[in-house]
Amino acid sequence: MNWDLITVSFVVGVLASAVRWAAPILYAALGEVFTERAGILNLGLEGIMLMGALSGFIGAYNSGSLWIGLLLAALVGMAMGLLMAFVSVTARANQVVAGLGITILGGGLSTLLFRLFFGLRTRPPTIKTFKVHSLPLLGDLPIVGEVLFEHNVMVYLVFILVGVAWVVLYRTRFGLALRAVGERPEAADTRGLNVTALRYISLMIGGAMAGLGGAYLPLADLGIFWTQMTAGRGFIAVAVVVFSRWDPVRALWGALVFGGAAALQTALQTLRAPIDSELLLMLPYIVTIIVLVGISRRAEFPGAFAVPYSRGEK
Amino acid sequence: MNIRKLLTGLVVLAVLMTALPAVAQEEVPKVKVALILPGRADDVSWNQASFEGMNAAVEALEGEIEVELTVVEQVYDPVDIEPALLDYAQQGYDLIVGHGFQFQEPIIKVAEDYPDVNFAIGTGFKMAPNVGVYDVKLEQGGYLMGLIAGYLTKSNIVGVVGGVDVSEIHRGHVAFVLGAQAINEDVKVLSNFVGDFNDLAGAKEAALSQIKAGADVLWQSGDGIGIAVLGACEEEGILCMGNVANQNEIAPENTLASFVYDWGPVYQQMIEETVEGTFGNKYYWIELANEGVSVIYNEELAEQYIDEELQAALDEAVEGFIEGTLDLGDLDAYKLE
Repeated sequence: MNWDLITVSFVVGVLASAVRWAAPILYAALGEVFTERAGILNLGLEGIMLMGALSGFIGAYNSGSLWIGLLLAALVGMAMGLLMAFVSVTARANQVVAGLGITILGGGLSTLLFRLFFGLRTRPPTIKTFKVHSLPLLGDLPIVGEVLFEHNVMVYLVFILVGVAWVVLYRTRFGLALRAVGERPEAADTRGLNVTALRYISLMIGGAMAGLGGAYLPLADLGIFWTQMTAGRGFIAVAVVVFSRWDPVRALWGALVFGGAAALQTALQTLRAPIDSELLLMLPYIVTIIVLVGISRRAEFPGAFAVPYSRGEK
Repeated sequence: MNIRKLLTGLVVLAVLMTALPAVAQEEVPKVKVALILPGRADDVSWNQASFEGMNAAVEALEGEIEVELTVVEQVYDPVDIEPALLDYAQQGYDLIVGHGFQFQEPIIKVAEDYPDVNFAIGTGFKMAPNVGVYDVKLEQGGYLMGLIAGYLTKSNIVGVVGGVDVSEIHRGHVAFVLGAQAINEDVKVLSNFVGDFNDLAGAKEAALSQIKAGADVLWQSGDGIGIAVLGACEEEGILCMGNVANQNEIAPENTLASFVYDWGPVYQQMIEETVEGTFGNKYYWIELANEGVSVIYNEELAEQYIDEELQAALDEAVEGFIEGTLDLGDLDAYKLE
């Protein structure tokens, strides 16, 4: 173990890395908070993120604008959410099966479309990513500045969206309606709320956010698209949502816990800690499981969680 | 009219009958080959090298052996491997190539039930009468890249990032450590594994972590994730080296050299032996001695960084590997953590 490599700069680097790990997961998790609050479990996040990554990349590559890429990623994610809504709300399919189907579809379709758009290449197509901007004043703070305020615009955007999501969920009529539909759809229905429409909207929000989360990888981090590049982040987002007990602010902490564990295991490998890399690579997932086991006792799932609704059925 | 038709028919038949044996004499043996890749054929790394090597082998055999080649990409998930193998074995393919360590167990299993089909495993150690292993002496590349990194580092810290700590990747990383230490006693060598060959973002974080720890020359042991490591070096403005394919163009200002694989001759040999019936139960190596691997330099950067002393050390090591005088010992036993 190389203890002497642990400097202030290294530790700050680990913390900043945790934020970068957390950002794409947090996008998807925030959307999934809305979806699950309305009573739907969407395990298709992984596939939607891949479609978001692909469409974001194609949009940015062809238009030269990263923002158009993001817009396209959100729209395609929304379309994937609509598909999930049709299958799970209208057709009332088992949501676990439907979600996994969406994940498989997104993985295969994004690969196929990438080949159709770009053909067989000897060198991958690339784009310029969002630049890192140090925020004025805040960025100059010692340690905290580099950890929190020296990132690309998509990191700042997701922090803002945490607040937006909280306000929408708890301080608007729409948020109240969404929560009612997830808790007691039959009661919401008798009060004149359109259960089907609200669940469709919740899945479109979830899809759009997952699309953005996927697009983070090529547009804000790497500058290239890669098959299966989300590498399980969509499923981590689902776990983060349970951890958060369906609250946007706690989702932020959940994403940071996972990001922190991922950054920590990377750092331990770098320092050549006397633990096998295979074991260290499990760390983020073990932390996720332990935290979930601890949390789930207290977790109160939405009353109608993962139960399709139909009028007049008990 | 009918008699005339009959006569012409007979004449045509007679001509055909005399012609047929002549055609048969010129007929070249036919072989059906399936190449199963775990990733995309255009990954500028592991899969692309295999894809290009196989196509080169097929081309080189033109006229001698007629190869009907099928390539399938993205058979990444271990649960998909066995069905793919069974599918091609049942379709009557003569040689099925699984390009990766993860193909070893499923191939050994399926090969038992299909003794008439030949199987090739891309890196591994298990064999059978109809199973051969082709592999790369990545330790040679790791050692050479280690020499370069150990010599050029100013901070005396260098690093290497790879997918998973197995097979040739392990040997490459260990040899990188040994190479760096051979030329620089004070050097610290960092090693990271990403655990996933598609997690480019994770690979980039690993590279950034090494750079934050002070590393100023990085190597990567290939696959898609390697491209992300080169990207991190470009962003941070440090030197790096590529692996598997010539990646010098991906970050042209930073990538000093690439350790390049050429699977062509090995694939060609495997196809020829399938026709002759001598395939199986052995290793097919690509190494410096048979020119299956080589170091390709980025000319502009090489001029700037590789001085006579480093060049001499590199030449000596290459010669040592070719002559067999440079022995790195048991690399599998060396622990990297």
